[in-house]
Amino acid sequence: MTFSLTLTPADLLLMLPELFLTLWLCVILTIDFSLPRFPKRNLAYLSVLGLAVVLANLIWFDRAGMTGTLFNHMFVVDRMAIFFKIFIVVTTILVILASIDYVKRFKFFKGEYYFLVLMSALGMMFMASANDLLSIFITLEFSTFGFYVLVAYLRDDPASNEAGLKFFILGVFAAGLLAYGISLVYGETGKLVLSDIAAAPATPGLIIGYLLIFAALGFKIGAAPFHSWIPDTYHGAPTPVTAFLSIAPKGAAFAILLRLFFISLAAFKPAWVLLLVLASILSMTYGNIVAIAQKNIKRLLAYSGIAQIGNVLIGLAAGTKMGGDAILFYLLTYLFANLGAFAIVIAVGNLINSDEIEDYNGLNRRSPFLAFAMLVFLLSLAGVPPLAGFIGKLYIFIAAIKEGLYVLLIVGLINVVISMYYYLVVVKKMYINEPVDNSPLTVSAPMQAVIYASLAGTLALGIYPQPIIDWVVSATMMFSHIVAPATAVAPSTALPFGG
Amino acid sequence: MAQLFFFYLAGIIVLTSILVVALRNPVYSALSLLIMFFHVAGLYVTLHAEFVAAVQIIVYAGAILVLYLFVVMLLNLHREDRYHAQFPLATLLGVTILTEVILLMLQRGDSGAPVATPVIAPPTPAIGNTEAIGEVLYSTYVFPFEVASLILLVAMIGAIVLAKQDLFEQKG
Repeated sequence: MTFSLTLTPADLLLMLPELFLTLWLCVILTIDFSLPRFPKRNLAYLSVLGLAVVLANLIWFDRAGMTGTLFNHMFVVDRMAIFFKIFIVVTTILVILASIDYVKRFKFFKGEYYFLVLMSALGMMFMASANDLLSIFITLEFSTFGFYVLVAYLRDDPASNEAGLKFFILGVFAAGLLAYGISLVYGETGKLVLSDIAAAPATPGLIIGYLLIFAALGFKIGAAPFHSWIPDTYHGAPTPVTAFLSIAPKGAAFAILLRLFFISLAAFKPAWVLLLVLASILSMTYGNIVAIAQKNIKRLLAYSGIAQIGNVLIGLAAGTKMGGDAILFYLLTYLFANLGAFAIVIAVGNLINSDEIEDYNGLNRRSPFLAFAMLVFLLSLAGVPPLAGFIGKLYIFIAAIKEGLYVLLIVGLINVVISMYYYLVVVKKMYINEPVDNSPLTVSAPMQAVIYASLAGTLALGIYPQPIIDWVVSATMMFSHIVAPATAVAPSTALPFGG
Repeated sequence: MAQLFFFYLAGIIVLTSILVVALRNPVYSALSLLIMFFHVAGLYVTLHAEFVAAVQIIVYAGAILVLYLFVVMLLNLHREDRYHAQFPLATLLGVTILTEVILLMLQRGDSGAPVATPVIAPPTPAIGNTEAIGEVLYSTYVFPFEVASLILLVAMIGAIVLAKQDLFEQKG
């Protein structure tokens, strides 16, 4: 028996973004401990610089149509992986910029904060490329490890410690489920690569294995009924970490879910649609109804995040290429709106040191810019035209209609109305209620950059989504022959519902 | 001979597992767990899985058990804190799992229908077990292996960030 590892430089080129980021991480770590006088703020800018190089690299890959697999199909670079990597890198850049003011609260280990954020981003980039069960497990754990530490970063704050502990214990439990599920699937099929296990017949062990894997990934994306860690963890974690946690890992986990359901489980589609429909309905309804009662903006966004993931699951339940496109597009709209909303929570939290919704009273008087930006982000999350969230919801609902999932559509529409209520309560407080304290609030430059970038994304995706729609349609091209739409032909590159 | 060996190992495993939960002194429990780990390693050796046997001893008997002992000794639990009222729950779960196992055994014995397709093991390599694992680890599975090294780096930094105490005591 011979073993060989043949890697040519051309092969390694496919890993260039990850390899460069790994190198950059080590540079940042080394600067942090070898030059104690180096301002920590500059470490943040250095991190952003490195990520910008990675982003440029990924965009080049996308334009040049770089694809391929490495390590016996364990690591795959395709258009979808590149899409998710760009998604993760953009999120990370914005999160780091939004963290700069917040990091002043940490007494120690300010430099390690950026290191851990970059490490998690690296783990999630690997997740986007993971193409077999073993690398799914190990990359998922890698990205989560950084978050375990980041969530508990405010060491003198009991809420942060509690959040970290809860996240850790439940996260490790989910990792156990994942490992158990993978071992069952491997035991039944003897294979690890996602496309190889697709051929296996459905045995009880295989079904239990897949259910356990789905439970673990459901934990990652925070879909009901695996959401129990979300509210406390989001509430207690440092706000930039909450923002990061609420977006990037969900995107990366959806890369895995899409590969798992659309490649390995494509043949079993009739069996899993019901499962996803139920998870989606439960997430949307539970998230939205509980969000109404929230007094803390971070908890409100946590529950609204559960509901948003319910919306994304509609696309997965549709199980078509168009559903995949809609997921990618929806995640982008969610990225800008949710990150923008969290950026304002961070900015307001830094200025008035509170995350209670009551303290947003009269925000318009104190800072019209913050109030207006928050209005745009909340309306986009709610799905009001002409903002990004509207197109995202429309896209996902159309994908569901084409598959005849009318129940899901009706529940989704009812939930849009419910969500409108609690988003608008915040808007009312900002615009109509009188402020207790009238002093104006000023926003620092990096934070302004984040808010402007999120505003630009939210408006651009809402007003002129065509280029991005073309992009996501081409990014999921790999699914076009695997899951053929039942009633409609694959959508053309034109906007399927008229621009 | 092999059968005799198996029954010796299995018997000791069952016996020490019972002792782990039955003994009142947690240190004794941990020590019987240690004996159990060694015998499980022995089972692996009879299955020609020498590498797994070595890992069993190094990781479980060496690292995890020491961690248990540290926890038991450092926390110095009071007698009343040690045992919770888990007996009814444990009985319920135990009976459920036992019934399931028996049902499964009976079902397989009767029809034999839902038997999984056996995984065909690759032919035993001419080189030793451990060498073979080392070779695949550095060729076929080099990607997860390298990512695991990054996990260790994160874990190390994370442990320092979360657990380093003296900075806070000096300045905080």
